[in-house]
Amino acid sequence: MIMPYRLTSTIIGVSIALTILFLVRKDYIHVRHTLWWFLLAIASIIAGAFPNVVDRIAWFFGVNYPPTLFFSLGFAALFLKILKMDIELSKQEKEIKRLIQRIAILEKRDRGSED
Amino acid sequence: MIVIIPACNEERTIRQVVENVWRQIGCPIVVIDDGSTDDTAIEAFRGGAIVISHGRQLGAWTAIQTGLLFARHHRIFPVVTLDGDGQHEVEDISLLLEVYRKTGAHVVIGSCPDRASWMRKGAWSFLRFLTGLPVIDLTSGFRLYSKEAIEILTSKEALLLDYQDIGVLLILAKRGLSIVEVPVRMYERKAGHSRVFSNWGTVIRYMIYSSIFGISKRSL
Repeated sequence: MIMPYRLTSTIIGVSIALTILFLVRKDYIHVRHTLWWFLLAIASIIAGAFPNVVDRIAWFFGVNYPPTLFFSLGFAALFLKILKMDIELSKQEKEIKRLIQRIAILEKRDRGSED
Repeated sequence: MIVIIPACNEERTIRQVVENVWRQIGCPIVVIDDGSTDDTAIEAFRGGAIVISHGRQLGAWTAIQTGLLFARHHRIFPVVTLDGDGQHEVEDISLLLEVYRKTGAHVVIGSCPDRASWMRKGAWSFLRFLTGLPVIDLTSGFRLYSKEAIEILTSKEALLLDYQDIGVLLILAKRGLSIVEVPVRMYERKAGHSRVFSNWGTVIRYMIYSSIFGISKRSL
């Protein structure tokens, strides 16, 4: 039997949700970063459980073949998430550099600080 | 005044440079040891410098910025930056200082375009064209920074820069600070090599990133 794509989508959604719950439980991910993934999981479950919703949205946007919309939106969502991660990473890099600079200055060595 | 020398694995030359500054200028010297794996820190200390060691390598510009932070904390202005490889003529520090006093410029760049290969000159003209910066020697590490310049350059905004080149100059130019160039002598590096112009891979990467940076930061 070939699995219908709506079931696949539901399974993926539930798996994402369970994975995130597991990661929070094990302290591998800060709860602050989980909202996005839960939204993604919910969207995936809705798309699987209520395919009419996707069809309607696709129709609204003038997309003839609903799965195209599904993939485009998923792609856009991931794109935004990864871009946000790079922004976050740059911010962290600045913080880390400033901390190292501060520590380095605090631990300076000069003629007066040695015996 | 205070002299700041960023250094990474320059144990062979750093002490000489520090002692020269002591003898000829006689002002406090801070060596920022940027993650050296050799005895750069010890040699600098023996020469009489205040030594600030980054626990890991943060890049040439961030090392200078640490020195600027130090100067700002202790309210010592202006700051002269110098390379630790003996490339710059210590005597010329007074030249930079003189120009600074006469012109009141916020930044004085000790410039020596003659040292550049055709490739580097080409890179400079291209970046000059992209950024609209009126500076000939874009990468000189021999500079004087005034209090105003230091206050801007120690901000977090300047923490994502890697080299003391167009990024730094663009930030200063955007804030309307005046930049003056003065010709100085420069020697062949006694040790080490340019952090940028060392091999084709880094040059290409440097040019790509600098171009993107220059275009994004251009004044509109």
